[in-house]
Amino acid sequence: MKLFVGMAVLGSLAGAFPLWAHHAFAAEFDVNMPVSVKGTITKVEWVNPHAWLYVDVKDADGKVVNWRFELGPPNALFRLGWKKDSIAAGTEVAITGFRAKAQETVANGRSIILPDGRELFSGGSGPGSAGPGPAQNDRK
Amino acid sequence: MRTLSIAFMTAALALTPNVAPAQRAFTPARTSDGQPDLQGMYTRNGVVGLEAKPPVNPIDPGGSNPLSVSNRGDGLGPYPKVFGEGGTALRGGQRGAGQQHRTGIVDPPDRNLPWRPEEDAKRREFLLHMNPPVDLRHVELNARCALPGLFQGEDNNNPYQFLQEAGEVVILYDYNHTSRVIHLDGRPHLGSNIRLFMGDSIGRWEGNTLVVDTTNFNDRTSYSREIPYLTAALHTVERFTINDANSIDYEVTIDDPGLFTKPWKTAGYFTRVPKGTESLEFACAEGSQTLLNIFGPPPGR
Repeated sequence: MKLFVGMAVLGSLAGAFPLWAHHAFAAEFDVNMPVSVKGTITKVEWVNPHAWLYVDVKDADGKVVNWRFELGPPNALFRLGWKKDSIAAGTEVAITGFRAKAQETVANGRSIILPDGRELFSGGSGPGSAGPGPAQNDRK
Repeated sequence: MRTLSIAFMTAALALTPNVAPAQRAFTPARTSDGQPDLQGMYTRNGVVGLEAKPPVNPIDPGGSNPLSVSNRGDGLGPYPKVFGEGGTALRGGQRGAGQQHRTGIVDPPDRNLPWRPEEDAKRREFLLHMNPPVDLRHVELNARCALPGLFQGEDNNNPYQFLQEAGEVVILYDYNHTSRVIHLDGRPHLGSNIRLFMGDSIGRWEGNTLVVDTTNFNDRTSYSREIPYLTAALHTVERFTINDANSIDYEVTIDDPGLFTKPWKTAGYFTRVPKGTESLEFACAEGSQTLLNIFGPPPGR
């Protein structure tokens, strides 16, 4: 709940405010390859220029594949209400995002749904990743 | 988390529309060597702006562009309004009532830049090869972890810390941990054979305005995603004017005869960030996966 207090206050502050980032979304990730997986968090890397979330996902054959999801920069995640320990290793999550152009198990994260139903926005470079809001362009 | 929420609420109060009377001329404190004191942590606002008729930018498509995720019809586009309009901008404190600020391209007023026609055509052609990038040269400079130059250190996200020593002003960029040392001791610019991402900056104070002349750039800096490169002929004159206790007005004249027939100006402002904002480690080359995601792992890996 405290997480959402922070997010609600943030929502009251912010207008539609496109951000700059280390890279543009479209050159690196494919708008035509949306990704939706469920799996178990194995690691969170809280690093610039983007944080990374690692998730073990079972494929159709039951084989476990470790996916990597790009999140926003740590300072943007912090302003969204994240902390480094917001998601512990072992947590079951459902994640949506868009796949990297040249890597099959790498994606730009859009949102993460926790076991209790709470949704965290990634703060990443894709539209909508900065949280609920109107259509923003991909500049982030 | 409580601390975080308090920080946001403090910021909310700071951003409440200020109805106080317009402030009188501000007199800043002085550093030990007599400079007007502008030290502190700020966020930069509005320096990078669009031309009147910017080219289509394939790596940064707007809402009407088919490449934009915003146009998806399957529900994977933007979120509905729940907490109000989204955004995670690092916002600084409020400026005084009645104070106007200028942002983006301010000269020429119509924002039609004085491009050399052949150079405008070249950059439009260049942009067409950035998605997908046909080679490393067409990956935007920041995504390669190149130092950001004067313009690409980010507006509204990564803060800037101003420090002052005797005879110099230092600007620490949170973004990519870049620093600028602006020398005030009257030295000349470096020899023309030395080319730098951040250029060579010499400055002077005119009242409460720090005027900074920068040359010796290399040819690997940019202004925006729509102006993805500048040339080594770039010469800038920046004006940092202490506006009040919380803000610095910023204007820069961009003279790049390699691309433009005459100088043009862009503007913005710096505002102090909420107390407690810190600069974080930024090991760009170590942390970035961009080139792998665009080109795939190198052979044998």
